[in-house]
Amino acid sequence: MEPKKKRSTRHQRRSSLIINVLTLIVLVLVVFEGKSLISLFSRQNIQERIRQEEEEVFREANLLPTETEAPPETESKAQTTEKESVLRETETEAATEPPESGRENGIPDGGDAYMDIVVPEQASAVDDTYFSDAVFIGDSRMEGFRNFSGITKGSFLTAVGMELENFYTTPQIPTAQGTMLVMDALKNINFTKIYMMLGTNELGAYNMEDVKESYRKVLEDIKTRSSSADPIVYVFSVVYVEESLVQTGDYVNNANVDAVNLKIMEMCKEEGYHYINLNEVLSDGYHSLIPGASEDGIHLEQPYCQKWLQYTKTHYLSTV
Amino acid sequence: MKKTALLPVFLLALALTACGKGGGKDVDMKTLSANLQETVTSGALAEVSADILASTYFLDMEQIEDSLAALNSGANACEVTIVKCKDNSYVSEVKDLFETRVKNQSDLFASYNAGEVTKLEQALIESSGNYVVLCVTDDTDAAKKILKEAGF
Repeated sequence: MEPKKKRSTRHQRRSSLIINVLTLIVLVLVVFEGKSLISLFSRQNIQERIRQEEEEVFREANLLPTETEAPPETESKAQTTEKESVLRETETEAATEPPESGRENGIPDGGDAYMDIVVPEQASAVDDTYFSDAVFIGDSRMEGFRNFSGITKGSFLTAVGMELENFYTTPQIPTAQGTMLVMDALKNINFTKIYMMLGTNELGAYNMEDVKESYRKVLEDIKTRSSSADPIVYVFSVVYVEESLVQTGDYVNNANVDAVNLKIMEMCKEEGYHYINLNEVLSDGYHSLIPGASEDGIHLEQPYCQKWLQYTKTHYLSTV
Repeated sequence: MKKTALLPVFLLALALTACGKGGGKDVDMKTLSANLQETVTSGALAEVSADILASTYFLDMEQIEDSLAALNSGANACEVTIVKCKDNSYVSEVKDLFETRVKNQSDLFASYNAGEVTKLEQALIESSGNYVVLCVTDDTDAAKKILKEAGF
């Protein structure tokens, strides 16, 4: 009787051990792979999740305005970003509204003589397709515009540190194989409109007249790469800085911004180019960047890049 | 006999747990991106469109199932990009393209803002299953921890 009893106990212990091991495995599976198991055995669950995610996406999409006319499949994310930006822009409108009266309009002293080359505001905004045949060339501020504005069309040749001095010498346009010169990168782009923004990295120049001549030469050469014999040349003003935040050198100041912008306006007048006065909406009204528009005093935060895009969409040549 | 009976159970357990590092596990890209962006302290990042992402990294978007890129204002080198490839065979090419992006940025920042080059030297390029992440951040250790917890 006694041996039989022992065998029975051992058997029970072994069974109990197996049950415990199996229970442990099941618990591990439930904890770490519960989601997978549920999905494996529940098609309905998967469909439900897909439906919920779709609803979430559509709900977000419904918040967005309807300006961009790009195909929805490829640009839904871009549209979402743009629309969210517009919403945020509206929220910050009160804080960023340009000054009412008795303040400057972003034109440097002496610039009134060149107002005929300043691109006027049009009654209606173009949509992004206007930029389909445009190339945007510029420094890190233009790169920020590319990243933050929500623009969906156009070719961008931008690089941090791009300046007139290194324009022909430093390969700085990224490619999948490395970097190349701007002039070489232009060979691969069909464009009839040029949007240009350089000048911030030239604020420390000793002679602004030299900056003007270098800018003139660069634009002349860029035009030769255009698929049009007479491309439209838009030149963005250098945007003001918030001096108290700038840490890259005291030459990055608004007196120099005005000085370089005056030379750019002169060049535009002489060459028949079109000056886009971004400081009309990005100035605080006293020859300075709107406070809070930039974390480092130079590169614009997203709502202000969106403002820049909106300004560009309403400031274009009406004959086009 | 009993040991043999347990074998399929262990095999099943192994097969299921193996999904943790394979292509079968889904990554919550929004949450992962948000967590990684919290390690960036030198300026806010913002999500860019798929077109901008494609032209930034020269990705073949036909081979990308989903993507999320948060870039910066141009002031620094920080960025957080996550892509999910349709097929695992494209993962290594994406990693190569991310490496090229980091090198290009390092070359540009070297003469413009050398402090950013340090961040680029510590850039994280990690993959898990069909997902690839590029993270250039102010706090690489924190980002590493986040990626590890996410299965990378």
